[in-house]
Amino acid sequence: MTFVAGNYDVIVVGAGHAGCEAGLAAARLGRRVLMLTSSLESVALMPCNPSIGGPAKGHIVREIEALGGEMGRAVDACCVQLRMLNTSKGPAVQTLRAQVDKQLYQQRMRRVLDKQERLWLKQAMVEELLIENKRVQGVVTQTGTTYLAPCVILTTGTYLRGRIILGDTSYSSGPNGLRPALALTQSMLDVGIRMGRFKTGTPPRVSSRSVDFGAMQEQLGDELVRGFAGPSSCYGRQLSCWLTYTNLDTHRIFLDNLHRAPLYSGEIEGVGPRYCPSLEDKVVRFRDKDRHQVFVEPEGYQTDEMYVQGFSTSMPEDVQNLALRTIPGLGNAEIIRPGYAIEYDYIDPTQLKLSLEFQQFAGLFAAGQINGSSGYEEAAAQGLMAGINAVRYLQHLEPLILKRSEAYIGVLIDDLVTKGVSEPYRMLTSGAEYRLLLRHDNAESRLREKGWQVGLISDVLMNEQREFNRSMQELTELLENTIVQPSPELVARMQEIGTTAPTQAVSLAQLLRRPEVGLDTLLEFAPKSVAAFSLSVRQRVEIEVKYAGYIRKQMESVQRFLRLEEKQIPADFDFSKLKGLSLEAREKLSKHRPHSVGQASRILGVSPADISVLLVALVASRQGGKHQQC
Amino acid sequence: MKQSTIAAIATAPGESGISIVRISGQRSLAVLREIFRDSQGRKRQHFAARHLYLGYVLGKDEQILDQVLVTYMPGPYSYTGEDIVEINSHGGAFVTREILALVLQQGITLAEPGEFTQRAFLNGKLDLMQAEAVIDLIQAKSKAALQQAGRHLRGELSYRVAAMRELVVGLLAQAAASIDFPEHDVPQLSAQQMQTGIEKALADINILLSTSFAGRVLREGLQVAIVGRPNVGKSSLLNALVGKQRAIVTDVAGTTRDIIEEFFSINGIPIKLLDTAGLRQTEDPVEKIGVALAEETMLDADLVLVVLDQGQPLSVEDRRILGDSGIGRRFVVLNKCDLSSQLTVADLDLLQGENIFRVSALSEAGLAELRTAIAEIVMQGVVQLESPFVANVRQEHLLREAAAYLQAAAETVRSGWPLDMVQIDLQAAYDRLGEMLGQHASESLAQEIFSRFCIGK
Repeated sequence: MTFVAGNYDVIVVGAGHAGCEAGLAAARLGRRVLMLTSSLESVALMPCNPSIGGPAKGHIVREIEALGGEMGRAVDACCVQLRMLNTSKGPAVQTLRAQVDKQLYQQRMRRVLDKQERLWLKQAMVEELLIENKRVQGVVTQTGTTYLAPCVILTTGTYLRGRIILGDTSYSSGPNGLRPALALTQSMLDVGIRMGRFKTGTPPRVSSRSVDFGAMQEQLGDELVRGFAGPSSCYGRQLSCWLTYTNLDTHRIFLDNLHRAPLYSGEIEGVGPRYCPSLEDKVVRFRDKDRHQVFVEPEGYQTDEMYVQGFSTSMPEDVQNLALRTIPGLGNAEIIRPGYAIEYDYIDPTQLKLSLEFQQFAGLFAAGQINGSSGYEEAAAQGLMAGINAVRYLQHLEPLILKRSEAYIGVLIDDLVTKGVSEPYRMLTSGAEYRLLLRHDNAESRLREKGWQVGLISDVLMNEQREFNRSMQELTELLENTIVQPSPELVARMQEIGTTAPTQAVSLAQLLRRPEVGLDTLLEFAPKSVAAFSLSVRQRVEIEVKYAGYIRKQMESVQRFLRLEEKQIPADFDFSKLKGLSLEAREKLSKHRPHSVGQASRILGVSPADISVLLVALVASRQGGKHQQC
Repeated sequence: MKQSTIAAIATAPGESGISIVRISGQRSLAVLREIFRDSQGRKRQHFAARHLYLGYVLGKDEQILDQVLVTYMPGPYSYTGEDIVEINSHGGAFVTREILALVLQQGITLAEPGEFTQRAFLNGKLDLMQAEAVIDLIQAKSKAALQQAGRHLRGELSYRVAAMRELVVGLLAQAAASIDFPEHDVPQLSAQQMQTGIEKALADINILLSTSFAGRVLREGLQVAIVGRPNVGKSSLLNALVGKQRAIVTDVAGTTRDIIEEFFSINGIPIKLLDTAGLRQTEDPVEKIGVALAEETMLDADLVLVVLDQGQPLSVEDRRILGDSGIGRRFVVLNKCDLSSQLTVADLDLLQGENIFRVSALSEAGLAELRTAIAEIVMQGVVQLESPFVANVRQEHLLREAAAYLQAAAETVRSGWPLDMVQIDLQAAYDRLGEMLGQHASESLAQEIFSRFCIGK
């Protein structure tokens, strides 16, 4: 006897960073949403590092904000420190990184969910997917309760058959000792979903009372006026992070105990992330390095707990204890939670469309770590897109798909879906081909309108954006059209900042295009009206004008990229008959069925030589058609 | 993909000993069965693979068109990977065209230029670089060019380009690491190191680019223009150099009105001799066009041979030509050295400092010296025939683009722009080098290569 407990438009399985964005987006777009979590206490949990943002990840958070997601404003409300990174490396890669109060973050997100109309957050362990005729129907929980909906979004994080490994101990568990989801995997395998196993890890936490801060370097936050979404002051009291280093003693303890490391004993079968290696991995791989950085970071205002970044490990607890205490500042450190590795099931993301819907099952979506990504930001971005596209699916509208040239989120999802994953996927700036266009500062210009069209951005916000764009336009024109004479004052000022003095009349924009010249430098030579523009308008225009030449160059390569992107492959194109393709390419292309040559070129195992074959074949097949006509 | 069956004349147009009509595709054997008769005049059903059969092709009204040798090469062991039939006929242009017409009447499609090779490529018989080498082989005008195409096939140039690409990707990786992990102690790349790295890659590319002149010469021949006023013996000189009668030689001034091209080689280096219309002021409209063309040819040439008749004092026109042709490299050829010199002291003064060759096109005196001097132009400096050359225009173009991007990247570093701006040009340079190697797919590459082929290949 099944108990059907309710009918919804969208069911979200999981309430982590992906789940929260997915649920909120769908509910805000007017749909009745059920969010199911195995524990109401673990909503928006940050089970690993206490920070959000940084290179590429910070860009993603800005994009989430621009589209109308929640993460950016949540971080602004809960941060304990803000820092702008990469300030010397250029506008494209500058990014914000926030240290976050984990408890506050969870509490705030829970409050936002609780207050959201049309959204119901419930505690239940989902164990079965209901699929009929390749269409998802709903889910069944551990207690046999059935919830029905034409859309289900899976955001299971690291809970699927989660297993924690620590030295010679291992046990079934979600992160942080939470309940694992043991049965859902089988239900997914039963319907033919391909799955794999990944591993990730976390370092030990120590009590701040046992740390000697005097022996470490203090890392202060920036004096910032803006967070990801708007003004943020971190409650007027930023907390510091602390830098220290491992040493040869630390490494010797690890090396002496390698036989006890689950990573090397074969205990761990899942593949771990290369960009977030455990300390045992670093010690073994870089034997010639005599030290590695360790950052000791606060986990919040109200807690004593400190996160030991750089010390991720699944060594036995006694080894962790011994090794940690060799590090300056941590000589008497009391571990309050040991580090551990966790293994979990993920789905092969090449089974998804770019909308994050399964190719095989209508209405079934997946977002976050279940898709093989790592990181809170990557998860949240996918959740937001899955939430939006689930609603568009219900509305019979084209999905919202961001291009690689439009957003880091576009790169992230295209990489996952097109290339698949062989290790937990972390977003890097180097993964984005068009970094200069995908800046931290211009996220709203890129994506606000899309958010508004979808319905997540209010008219008020959209009008503000339009107003902002108009101001930018005005200021740009003002700078281009204001001609200044090489007066003695200007000459002196230019020499003072180390650039050659102009010898003839130049526009302010021309002066601004010199690397040494900032808009601030030019204010005294500019019309009064320049200073009247808001700081954020001035900052944006400064970048756009200053780097105009480079931005144009990047736009040109986007055009080149789009040519391959727009080269469509007919839906009935038979790759298996194309002998010039490598065997692997023939298989991969037949399996993935890319819709464009551009997408085909990013499939792993499809070489540029294969793409050349494809391009020529597409031309040849068109020529064939032409012959038949005449 | 259901491919149509295609056919074309595979040999060069014109009269020759043998011509070949090539048919490729599923229906090629059926066509052969239809149009071929054995020596007893019977149709034949069975053709063993890669055997020659003697017989006849019948035209309209069952008339014998020609006696032919035919071969059937079933796929996939054929040039295109499809079933191929080749019909060797006697080389008359008319007969060959009739045979092709007969084949096309069987419902076969006329092949596009390069379509056979394109099919070979699509069927995995050749990769893109090999296809490119095939066309270089076809178009090779000399032994050295042929060897060059062979070297290219073996990948010597690829090796050099791959090494540069490694250098660039190393810089990109370091820049990326310092950007993606700003707080980690990854080695930070200083502007100075970046600059040095870029300049190293740039220097390597420039060395390769400097060989592109030699590459072009090997491919297209050294362009040597013969200029001079009418009837000083330009055409005779061309014939003497090439060693056969080609240009029309008469003693009527202004006979040569269009540009006559002739290839010959000196020590394996291809020379393209361009015989021009006599340069003189003329009212004849046709000759006028010829004169304009000659002047253009002179400007484009790698070497200009100014031919003067030493049997007469320099005329006003000779002096004008000497004035006009002085831009590039030139040799002054004093023809008719078998006659006694009528050049005045003033004439000899004017020729002071020129590379002068005294020859007789008639008796061939002095020609050996002239040949050697022409060859030395190619051999001097960077050109050594054993090193890999930038073989064709596509490669040269990509290398030049890569060099321009590296130049821009170096400039960006020098001006103190931040790292993310440097990345843009480095990435573009990296992509161009990859495109050269076929490791970065681009639309133009795939399409350009096949467009360079002729029909029948």
